[in-house]
Amino acid sequence: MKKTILVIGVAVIVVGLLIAAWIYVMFFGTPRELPDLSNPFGFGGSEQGQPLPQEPVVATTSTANPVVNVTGKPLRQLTTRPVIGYRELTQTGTSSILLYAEAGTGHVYSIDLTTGAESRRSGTTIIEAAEAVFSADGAFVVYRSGYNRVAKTVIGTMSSTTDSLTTNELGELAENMHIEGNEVLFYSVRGNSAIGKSRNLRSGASKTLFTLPMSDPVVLWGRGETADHFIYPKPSYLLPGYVYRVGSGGGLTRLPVSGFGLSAFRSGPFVGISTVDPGEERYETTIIDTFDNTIIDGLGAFIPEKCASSLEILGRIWCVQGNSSAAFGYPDTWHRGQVVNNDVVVELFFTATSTTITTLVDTLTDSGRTIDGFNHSSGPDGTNLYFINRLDNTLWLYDLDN
Amino acid sequence: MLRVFLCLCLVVLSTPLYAAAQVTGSLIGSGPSLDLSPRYPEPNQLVTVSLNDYANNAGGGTIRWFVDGQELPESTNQRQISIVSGPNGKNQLVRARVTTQDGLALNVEHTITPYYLDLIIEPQTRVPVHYTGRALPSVESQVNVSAILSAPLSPNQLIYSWRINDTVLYSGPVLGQNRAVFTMPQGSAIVSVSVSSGERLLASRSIEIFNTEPIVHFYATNPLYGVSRLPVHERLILLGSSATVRAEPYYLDLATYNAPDFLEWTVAGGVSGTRTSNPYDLTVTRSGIGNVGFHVRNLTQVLQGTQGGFAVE
Repeated sequence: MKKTILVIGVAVIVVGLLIAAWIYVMFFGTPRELPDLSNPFGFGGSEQGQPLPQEPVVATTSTANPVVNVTGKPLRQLTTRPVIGYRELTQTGTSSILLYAEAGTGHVYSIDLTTGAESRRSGTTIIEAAEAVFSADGAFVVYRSGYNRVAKTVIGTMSSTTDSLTTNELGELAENMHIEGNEVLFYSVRGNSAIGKSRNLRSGASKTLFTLPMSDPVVLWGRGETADHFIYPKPSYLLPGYVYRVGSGGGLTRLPVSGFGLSAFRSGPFVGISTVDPGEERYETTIIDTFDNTIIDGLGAFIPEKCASSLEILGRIWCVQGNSSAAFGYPDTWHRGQVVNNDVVVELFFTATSTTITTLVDTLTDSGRTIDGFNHSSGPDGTNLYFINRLDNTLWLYDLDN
Repeated sequence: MLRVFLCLCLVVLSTPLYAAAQVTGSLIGSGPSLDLSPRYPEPNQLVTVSLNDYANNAGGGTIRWFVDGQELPESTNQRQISIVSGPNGKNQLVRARVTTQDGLALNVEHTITPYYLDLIIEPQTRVPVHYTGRALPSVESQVNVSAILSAPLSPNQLIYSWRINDTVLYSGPVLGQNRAVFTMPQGSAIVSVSVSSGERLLASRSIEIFNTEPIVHFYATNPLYGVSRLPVHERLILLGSSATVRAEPYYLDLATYNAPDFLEWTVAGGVSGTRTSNPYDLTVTRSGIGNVGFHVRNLTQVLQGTQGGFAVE
């Protein structure tokens, strides 16, 4: 009897302890960290893996504008949005401002090049915005709207109080647009001719500048409607090209240079011409001083579509180096997108007596990315060089002072 | 009557004959002339001037050369000299003074007036809107060509004579016809133009242009951002489930591009395609690996066509 009571009592105590333990674990116990078992025997060094810190997740809403990296390495990517046009504005205050237009929407953004702050300046949508040019004061932006040949030209006037544009159509399709002061310079095609024109963006007055006996030229605009402009037919490696100066009266003066695959760039009176010899597969650049038709050659090869000239210093040009040994079909293969360039940017400086070429940056080595730039231009004070990467249409900057 | 006729013959036969160059002095046989190579030089171009005097055979006599009145002593007794033409539109007088062994002196002159005469070739074949190069001609495609002369004269004051290979265009010289349109033949085309002012031939130029076979490249399109500038290289890797691709048949004659007799997209494997309002666009939807093909052609001018394709992954 006593034995039975003892056994029952022990059993009850054990069950009670188990119940108590269960209650304690369920309602009062706290989880402990498990010991690290990544290297239980200590092989492979003494480093121990650390567990991830347990940070509380707090939902936040931020109203701060995105900040672009405008410091650091000289070569910087400014946007992740695809860009169809941009311009560094003429500085009026202490900050330098860059405006750019987003592809497809035409929305305009500004980047403060001192602080990196980015803000939207216009939320007005331009349907199928394919190309944009800005005035130097940022008051106007002119768009090509439409991805096909049935497109139109839209003139946008920026508002100083709201993030919207006032728009009106030009009435004709403008090609090869460029804004100088308050004038937008362009040409329109009529039959087999290209008509060079200017339109005052403030007054709306239009003027015919010249008529060209070709329908698809490239125009290297001068500094204003009365300046000299240079024109040439678009390049192809199988067709000869020529360069002409168009004077203020519209007359054409042929420059003493020609060649297959011809394309050109300019800095004031200096015109650089690159041509290809399809048989020899050679690509080379010649510079001509149009004051006296002095020719400078033996410089190597530069790609005119990737050149920009200084707005301050005559004869200072930035270009991308080309390959003197051009594969058959170049430059057409580049224009079709079959060939992608890894840009090496150089600076050329011409005077009456000397020529200097300085390599600035190998973009592939510097950024680790393929950069095939186009639409190059410099800021008004020559401290920055800008271009759009053809691979993704992002906007890039190279700090020339750094 | 017979006496009058004989007198007339004597007058005609004793009149000095003028060939391409002016010649003074008595002639023996046909007159000498100066031949240029190139015949119509451009400004500041090296020109070879040759004395064509084989009938009289000045060999044994002396030949002296003068350019704008200045003698070239180093070229004495040479039948050929090389000079550099002057600036655009500036006359340059070249004279050869031939003295035969009999003492007969002949002056042969030629005035060189160099001009640029450029031919701007603009084939009317398809290239994308974003293409920054020039279109090339293909067989049976239309080609526009413009002539630009560097003389200070309006094209409306000049007479143009056009020829494509051996075919004369517009039935002959036409006043103000500084542009020509022709259909590209097979092989190549030698485009020639001569420009005259009144009776005087100012310049002549020829250029040979070659056919290019149309080729198709495919570009991804985005309804917001437009057409990519870089083509699909053999395979399209879809990050999403679908993408729209545009076929661009480079150098296809515009008439064929705008109204093709035959245009077909083919899909095979784990892909399907949906046509859009633009027959050159296809929306590709992937459920596996597949291939997309494209073919466009003019069934009358069968060389006006191209085909290609790409893989989809």
